Amino acid sequence: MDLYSTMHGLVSWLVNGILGLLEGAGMRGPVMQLVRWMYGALEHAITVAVVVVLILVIGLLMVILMLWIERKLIARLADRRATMLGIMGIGKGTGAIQLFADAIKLLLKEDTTPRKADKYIFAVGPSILVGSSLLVLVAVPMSDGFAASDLKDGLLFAMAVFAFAPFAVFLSGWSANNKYTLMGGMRSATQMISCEIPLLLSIAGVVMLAGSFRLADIVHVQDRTWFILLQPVAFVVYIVAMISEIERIPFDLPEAEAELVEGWQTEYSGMKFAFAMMAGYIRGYIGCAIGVILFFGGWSSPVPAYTVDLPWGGRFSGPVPELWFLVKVLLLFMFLVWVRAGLGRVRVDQIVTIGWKRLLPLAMFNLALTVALMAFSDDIGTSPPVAGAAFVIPAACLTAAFWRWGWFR
Amino acid sequence: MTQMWINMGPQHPSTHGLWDLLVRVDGETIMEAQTKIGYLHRGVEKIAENRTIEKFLPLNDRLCYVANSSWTTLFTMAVEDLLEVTPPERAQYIRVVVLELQRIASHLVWLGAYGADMGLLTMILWGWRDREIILDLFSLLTGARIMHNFPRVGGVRNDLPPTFKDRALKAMDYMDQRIPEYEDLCGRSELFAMRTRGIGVLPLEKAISLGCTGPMLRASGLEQDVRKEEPYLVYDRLDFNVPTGQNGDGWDRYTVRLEEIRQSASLVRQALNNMPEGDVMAPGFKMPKVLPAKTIYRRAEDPRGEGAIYLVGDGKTNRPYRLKIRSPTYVHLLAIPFYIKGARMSDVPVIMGGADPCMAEVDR
Amino acid sequence: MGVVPLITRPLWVTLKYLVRGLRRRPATVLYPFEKVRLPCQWRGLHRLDDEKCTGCGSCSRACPNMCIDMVQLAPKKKRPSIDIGRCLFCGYCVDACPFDALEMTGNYELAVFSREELIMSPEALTKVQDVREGTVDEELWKRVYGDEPVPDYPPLPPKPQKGKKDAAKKEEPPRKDGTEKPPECGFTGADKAVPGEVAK
Repeated sequence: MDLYSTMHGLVSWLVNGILGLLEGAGMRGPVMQLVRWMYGALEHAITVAVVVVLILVIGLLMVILMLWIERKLIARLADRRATMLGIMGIGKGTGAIQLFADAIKLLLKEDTTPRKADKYIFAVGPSILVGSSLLVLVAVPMSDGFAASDLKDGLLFAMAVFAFAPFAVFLSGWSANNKYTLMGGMRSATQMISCEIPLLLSIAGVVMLAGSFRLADIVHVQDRTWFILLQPVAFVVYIVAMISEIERIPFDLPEAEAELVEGWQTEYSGMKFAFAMMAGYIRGYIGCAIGVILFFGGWSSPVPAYTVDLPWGGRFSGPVPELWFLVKVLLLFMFLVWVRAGLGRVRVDQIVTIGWKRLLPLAMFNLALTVALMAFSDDIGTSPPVAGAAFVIPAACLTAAFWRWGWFR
Repeated sequence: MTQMWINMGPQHPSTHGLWDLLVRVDGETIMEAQTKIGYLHRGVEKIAENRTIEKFLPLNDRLCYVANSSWTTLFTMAVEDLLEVTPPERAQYIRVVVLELQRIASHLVWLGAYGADMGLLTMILWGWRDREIILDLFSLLTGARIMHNFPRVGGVRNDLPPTFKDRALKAMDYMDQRIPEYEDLCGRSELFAMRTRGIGVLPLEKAISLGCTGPMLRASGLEQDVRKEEPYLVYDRLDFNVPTGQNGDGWDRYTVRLEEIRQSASLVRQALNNMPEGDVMAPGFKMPKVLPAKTIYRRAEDPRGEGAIYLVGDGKTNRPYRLKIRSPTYVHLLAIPFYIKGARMSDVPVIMGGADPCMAEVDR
Repeated sequence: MGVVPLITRPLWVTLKYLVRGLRRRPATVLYPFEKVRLPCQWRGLHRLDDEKCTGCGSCSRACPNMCIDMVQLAPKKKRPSIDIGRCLFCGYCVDACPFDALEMTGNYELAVFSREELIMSPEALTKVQDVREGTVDEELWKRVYGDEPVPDYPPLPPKPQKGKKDAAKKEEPPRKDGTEKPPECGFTGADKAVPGEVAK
C-alpha cells in the first residue's frame, strides 16, 4: 500500500468536500479565492502531517505491543504468569489493562526536580531522547510504499539519528546533581561509544552487497537470498551491538538496578520517566526493524501474490507486506526478550572489551570477506559457489574461534 | 578525576537489608570502604534480660527472617545446657530435619538474590518458587510458614503429622531435580562466570584472622563445620560432606552453597528414614523457678556461619542475667572493607551478596 | 571450552520452561482468585468458644506480648479480648488453654482501616468464621508430589483429657454459624510444657 498516495486521495477528497460545502453555503470572496489558489500546497501539507502522525501512532502502538509481549514472555520463560488483569471482564487473562494503567499512573505522578540540578537540561534530556528516537521512525519503512519518507540515504540517516541518544543520556545523568546518575551517564557514554563502531561496520557489508543506502533497495536485493545467510558474522555483530545500544540486559549497565538505583533515570519521575522507558522500547523497535530489513528480507513474505474478491465488490490483493514485516520484527524482538530472561548483566570493563576487542575485529573480518567475495561475482546471491563460500567460511571461522580457543572470554 | 564517597545504602535495592556501605571511588575503582550498621537494632539482648525463657522464645524467630528455626533451636539448646535437660531422641531428629530444611530455604533465598543482583531475573523467581515447597512443609509441621515458634525447652512443640514424611521425601526429590537447572542457569553461564570469578577474593589467612566462619571460610579453602567439630543433636550419626572452595571468590561461594543444598537434602532424607519412635518432649520436665547460676556458651552451624549464644543465669530469678548472641554475619559485614579494595563499583553487589547478609541478626 | 555452549545453556533451560508452560500450568497462584489450601494447624485469627471458656486467664498469662486482656462481661463472666495489632500469632494462648476454648482458624486477611478495629472483643472472637476455602491446584500439587492425592488432612488422635473436664467427649451440637468443624489436629499424646507454668 502506498501510504502517501492513499492518504493524498483521502485528504483531497476531504478538503474538496469541505471547500465545496463552504462554497455551496455561500462563502465566496477573497479568502475563498486564496484558499483555492493554495489548494495544491494545502493538500500536500495536510497529507504529510497525516502520514507522519499515522507513522508515529503505529510506532507507539508497536511499543505498547512490545511491552506486553516482553512482560508475558519473560514471565513464561521463568515459569510464572505475568499480569492477567482485565477490566470488568474484558481482556481477562491478557493483562492488557496493565499497560494503560501504567501510562495513566505515570501521567498523574508528581514531576520533581532535585534542588541543585540544572533545571533546563534536566527537563530537556528525556525529550531529546524520545525526540531523536521518534525521528528515526520517519526513515524506517514498513513496506514499499508505507513510509513517511523514502530517503535515498535512509540507512545512514537512521543510524546517525539513532546515535544521538547517548548524548541525551549523558546530559540527563550529569544534570541531576546525583552521584548515581552521574555514574550511570558515564557508563552509558562508555558503552555506547564502544559499541557504535562495530554496529556501523556490520551494516557496511550489507550496504556493499545491496549497493545503496536506501532501505527499500536493500529489501529488494534480498529477493532470492536473505542476507543472514550471506553475512552471518555481520548479523551476530549487529545483534550484540544493537542490544548494547538499546541498553537491555545483558548490557543494561546504565540502568543497573542492583548497583545504581536506577542509573541515570534515578531522579526522573512522572512523565519524564515515561519518556525514558518509552525511548528504550522505541529504540528496541527501530533496532529490530532495521535488523529485519537488513538481514531477514524486510517485508518479503513466503506466500506469493494473490488476489481475493471481496464480497462487497472490489478486490483485495495480498500478501500484506506490512503485516509480514511486523511479524518478523516481533519475532526478532522475542529473541531479544529470551536473551534478557536467561543472561545476567555484564560489567562495564567487560563491555568495553567486548566492543573493542571482540566485535570490532569480527566486523572488520566480515567486511574484508565481503569485499573479497564480491571480487568473484557481482551479485553474490545468484552464484551458488560464492554464496556458499560466503556462508561457510565465516561459519567455520566463528566456530573455530569460539569453540577451540574460547576467544570470547 | 577526584575521588568521591558514595553511599550505598541504607535504602538501596541491592544491600539485602538495612545497612550502609560507604565507598570511596576513583572513577569505578574502590579505594576504601566503611560499613555502617545498626539501622535495625531492636535491643533483643536487653529484652531477654526482662523476660522469662518461654516468653522470650518467639523472639528468637525474629533474629533472622530467613532462617528462623536455627536461632530458636540454638537458644533452646543453650537453655537445655543450662538446665541440664536432654531432649528425647525423636525430638532431636525432628530438630535436625527442621534445621536442614531451613538451611535449604535460606540458601535458596541467597541464590535468588545473588542472581538478581547480577541481572539474572529468572534466578530469583525460581529460588522463591522452590522455597514455597519448603514453606508449605513448615506450615504443615508447625502451623506457620516463617515464624515457626517450634522448638521448646526439652523437645519440640508437636510430633510430625502423618503425611509429613512422605511429603518431605518427595520434596527432596523435587529439589534434587531442580539443582541441575540452577547449575544450567548460573553455573554454566559464561556471564555468571565473568561476573563472579576472581571477584572479592578473600585469602585463607585473612579469612581466619578476620573471624569469618561458615560458607565464607569454606569457600576460602578450609574445611570447617561446627556440625563435624562439635556435633550437637544427632549430627554425629548422620553422614554428610562439607564442601569447600579454593580461591574464596564469588564463584566459590556459589559452588559451596549449592553443594550445601544437596547435602542438606540428603541429611533430611537420612533423618526422616532413621527416626525412632518416642516422645517429643522430655517427660516430666517443668521449667524451674530459678535459673541455676551458670555460664553457657553454645555454638551451632547457622546457614550463614557459626552462630553462638552466651547465656548467663544468676541463681536468683528465672530470667537470664545476660544473653549475648554471636552473629556470623556481623563479622562478615565488618570484614568487607578489608578485601573490597581494588574492586569495581559493579562488583559491590556480588561481594555484598556473597556475605549473605540478614540484617536482623547483625543488628539484633 | 568455548563460549557458545556457555551462553546457550541458560537460554536452553529457559526455553524448556516456556515449552513446558504450554502443556501444564506455571507455578503461579492467581491470588486473590485462587488461594492455597492451608493445613489445619495454621495459626491465623483466634476463635473463642464461649461455652467452654471459663475465664481462667491462662491465655492472658501465657501471652509473651501482653496482648490478651480479660474483660468483665457480666458478674462472674470474664472473657479474653485479643489485640491483633500486638499479637505475634505464636500460638501460646491456644497451647495454654486447659479447656480448648481458644483455637486458631485459617484467616489471614486481617487488614482493617483503623487501629481500634484491631482490638477484638470477646464477642467478635466468638463470631470468627473459618474461611479456609483455599484449594491448591491439582496441577501445582502434581509437580512436586506426583500421584499422591491432594490430602484432606486426616485428623490426628485426640489429646489426653485433663482431670477437670468430662472423660467422654459429648456430641458436638451443630454450630451456630453453619460451618463445619475443621478436623482435629492436636498434639500426639506427649505431655506438652505449658508456657508460663512453673513447677511447684
